[in-house]
Amino acid sequence: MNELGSKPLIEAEHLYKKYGDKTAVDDVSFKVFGGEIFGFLGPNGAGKTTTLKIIVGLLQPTRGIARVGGFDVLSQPVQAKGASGYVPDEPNLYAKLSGRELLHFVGDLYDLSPAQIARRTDELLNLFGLSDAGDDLVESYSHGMQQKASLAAALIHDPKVLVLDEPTVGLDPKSARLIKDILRQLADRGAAVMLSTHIMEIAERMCDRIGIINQGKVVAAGTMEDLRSLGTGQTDLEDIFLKLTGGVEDAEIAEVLK
Amino acid sequence: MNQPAARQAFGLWHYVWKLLRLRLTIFWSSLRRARTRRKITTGLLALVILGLAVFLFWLSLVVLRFLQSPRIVQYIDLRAVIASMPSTVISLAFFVFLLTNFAVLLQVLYLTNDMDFLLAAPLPMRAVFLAKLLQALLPNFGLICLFALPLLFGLGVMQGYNILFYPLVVITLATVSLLGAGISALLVMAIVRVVPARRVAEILGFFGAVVSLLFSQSGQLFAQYGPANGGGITDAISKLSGMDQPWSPLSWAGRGLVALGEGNWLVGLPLLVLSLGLASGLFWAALGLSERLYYSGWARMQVSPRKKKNRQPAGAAQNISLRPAAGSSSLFRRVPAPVRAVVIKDWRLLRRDLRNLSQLIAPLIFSAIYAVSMVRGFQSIRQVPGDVFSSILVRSEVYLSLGLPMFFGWMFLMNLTIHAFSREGKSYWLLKASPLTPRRLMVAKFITSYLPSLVFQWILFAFVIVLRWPGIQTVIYALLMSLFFIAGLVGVTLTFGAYGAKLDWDDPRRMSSGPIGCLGFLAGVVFVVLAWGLFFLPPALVPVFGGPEWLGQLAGLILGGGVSLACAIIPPFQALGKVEKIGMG
Repeated sequence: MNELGSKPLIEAEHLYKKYGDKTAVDDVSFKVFGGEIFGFLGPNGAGKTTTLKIIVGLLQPTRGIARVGGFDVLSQPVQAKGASGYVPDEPNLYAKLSGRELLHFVGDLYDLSPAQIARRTDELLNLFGLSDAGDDLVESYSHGMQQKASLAAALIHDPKVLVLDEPTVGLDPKSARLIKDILRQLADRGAAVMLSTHIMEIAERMCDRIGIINQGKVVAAGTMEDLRSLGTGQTDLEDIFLKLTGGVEDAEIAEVLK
Repeated sequence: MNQPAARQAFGLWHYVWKLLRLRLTIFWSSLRRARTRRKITTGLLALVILGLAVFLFWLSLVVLRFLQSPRIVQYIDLRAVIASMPSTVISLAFFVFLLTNFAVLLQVLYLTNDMDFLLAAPLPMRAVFLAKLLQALLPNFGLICLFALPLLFGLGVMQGYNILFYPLVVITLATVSLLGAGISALLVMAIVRVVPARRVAEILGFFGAVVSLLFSQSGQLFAQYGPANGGGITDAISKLSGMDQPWSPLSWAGRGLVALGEGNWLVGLPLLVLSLGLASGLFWAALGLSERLYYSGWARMQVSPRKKKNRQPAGAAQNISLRPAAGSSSLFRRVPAPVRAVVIKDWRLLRRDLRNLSQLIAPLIFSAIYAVSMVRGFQSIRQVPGDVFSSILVRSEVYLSLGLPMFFGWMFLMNLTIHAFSREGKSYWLLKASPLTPRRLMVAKFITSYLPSLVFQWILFAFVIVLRWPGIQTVIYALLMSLFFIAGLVGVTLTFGAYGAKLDWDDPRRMSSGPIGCLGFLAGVVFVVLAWGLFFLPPALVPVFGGPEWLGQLAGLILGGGVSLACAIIPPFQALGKVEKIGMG
C-alpha cells in the first residue's frame, strides 16, 4: 500500500525479457497504485513497449512476475486482462469493421451485457467525436481517429487499470488534451494509469510518478521531487532524463551544430 | 534541344536511374544477407530461366522447320501464318502488357509505403513516376521477352532474316511494352480517381482468382463438349493470326520487321518508323496525362474520403451485437458472448474483405464445374435382382456420389481453418489483451469454420439428392454423417492452423507459414480418405453379408462418427497450449 492507503494495481517484480542474446528488459520492478498516473520514459529501444506488453499479457516474460489488479498475468490471465485496458502505439484495428461494430465486439469480449455495450458505445463515440463516423469502416479512419477508436475500445469495460503506449502520437492538440483529461479523470476515480511517452511535458504535467528505463533497466522512479533529488543537479525533467540515459553528450553535440 | 531543356532531360534520367539503382541495391543487399538456401535457389532459378530461353529457341527452330517441311505443307499450309508471327506476337505482347501491368502499376504507384518519402524528396515528379512505371514494367517485359524473343529469333534464323531484324525486334517489343504500360497507367489513374486504390486491388485479386480458376478448369469443362482435333487447332491458329490486320499499327511493326528482315527496306522502314513513332508519341502523351492525374490522385488519397451514410435510427445502431448477423438461432444465442462475438466478427470480415473471399472461391467454382459434369455424365448402374456384386456396385455408386461433396467440403473448409488464426493478422492484440481464454477462442474459430462448411456441404448433398434420389434413409444418413465428418475435419485442420499461425503479414496471400500449412493440407486429405472408408464401406459392403442397409449405416455412423468426434475434440484440445502462445514473443 502507498501512503494514501491504496493497493498497487500494477506490480512488476524482477521482470526479464530476452530475445536470443539481447536482453530487452533487465530486472525491472515497480508498482503503480490506484489513483495515480505512472509515466514510463526511456530512449528508443529501452524496453518500454516490451514491459508494457508483458504487463497486459501480450508477451511472456523470460523471468519475473507481473500482476494486474492483484492477479498474476501468467497464472490468472483472464482475471488480470479483465481488469485492464490496453492502447498500443500502433492502432492495428479490424479494418473491415465499423467503429461501432468494433466497440460492440470488444464489449462482448469483456462479457458486458448488451444494454451496457450499447450505452458505453454511444457514450464513447460521443466522447471521442466519432459519432458521425461510427458506422463507417475503420479502414476509412485517419490515424488519429483510429487511435481514438483504440482508446474507446480500451475504455469500454471501464477498466481499473489502463496501459497506454505513446497514447498522444498522431493526435491533434485538442484530442491529446481530451485524452489527458480522460486519463486524469480515470485516475481520480481510483484507476491506475500507466503510459509510456517521449513527450517530457506530458510526463511532467500529467504523471504523479515517473519511471525512467534505459537499456532494459529502471534507472530512476518516483515523483518529480524524487527525481530532482537524485543528485543529478538538474531540475527540468528533460535534463534529468538526458543525464540518466546518457543523452547529454548528444545534446551537447546538437548545441555545437547550431 | 536548348541547354536548360537538355540539362533537364538529362537530370530526369539521372534521377530515374538513381531510383532504379535504389531498387537494385535493395534486391542485391537482401540477396547478400539471405540464407544460403535462398541464394542457391535464386542462382538455380536464373540458370533455369536461361536454360528455358535456350530450349524455347531450339523448340521454335524445330517446330518452324517441321511446319515448313514439304510433307506438312501438302496437308496444311501455314506459311502465311508463320509470316504473320511477328505481328501476332507484338499484338499479343501489347495486350498482355496492358492487362498485366494494371495490377502491378496499381501496387507500385498507390499501395507502396515509399511514396511519402519520394514525394517529399527533392526529386522531379516525372522521375518518380517514370521510375515507378519502369519498376512495374521491367519484370513483365523480361517475362514476355523470355517467350517472345526465342520465338521471333527462331523465325529469323529459319527465314534467314537480315542481322538488323534481331535488335529491331527487341526495340519494337520495348516500345510496345512502354505503350501498354502508359495506357495501363492512364487506366489506373482514371479508376483510382473513382474507386479507392485498396478497393480496386481487392476487386482485382478477387476477379484474378476467379478468372484464373475458370481458365484452369475450362479444359475440364469444355473437354466434354467435344475432343480437340486437327481442325480445332487450325481454327485456333488462324484466329491468332487474325490479329495481323493491315489497319493495326501493331501489325505495321510486325510487317515492317519481316520486310526489313527480308531486305525490303523501302517497305519495312516506313512501316516500322511509323508504328514505333506512333507508339512513342502515344506513350509520351499518356505519360504526361498520367503524371498530372497521378499527383492529384495521390494527393486525394491522403485525404481519405468517408462516405456520408444515412444515419440509422438509434435503436438499429444499438442492436448491433444482438443483430443475427448470420441467422443466429436461439442455440447460437446460448453460446457465450465472447465466443459469439469472435464468430460474428470473423464472418463479417470474411464477407467484407474480398481478399479473404477470393480464397474461398476455388471450391465454389470447382463444385459448380463438377456439378455440371455430374449432371451431364449422369448414368445409373442397373441392379440385377439377386446379384450381390451388382448390388454392391449400385450402393458404392450412391455413396461415391455422396463422397464428392465431402471432397468439396474439405476444399472449402481448408481455407477457413488453416488460416483461422493467421487471418487475425496484426489485429490479434485485441483478442490477446482481452480476457478471452484459449479454449473460448478455439471454440469460436471452430464454429466460424464449422457452420459455413456444414451449410456448404448440405447444399451439395441436396444437389446430389435431387439428381439421384437415394432414398430417405440414405439422405438422413448423409446429413447425420456430415455433422460428424465436418466436425472431425475442422478439428484436425484447425489444429494445424493454430500451430502455423502467422500474424505479421500485410498481403493475405502471405499468411501461410510454410510447412505447417502443407502438413495441415496432407492431414486433411488423410482424414477425408479415412472418413470415406469408415462412413461408406460398411453400408456399401453390407449386401455381401446379407444384412440390411441400415445396419451398415449404423456401423458407419459408429465408426466414422466416433473417429470424427475424437478428431474434433482431441487435436484442438492438445493445441490449446499453442493458442495461448500465439503472438507471444
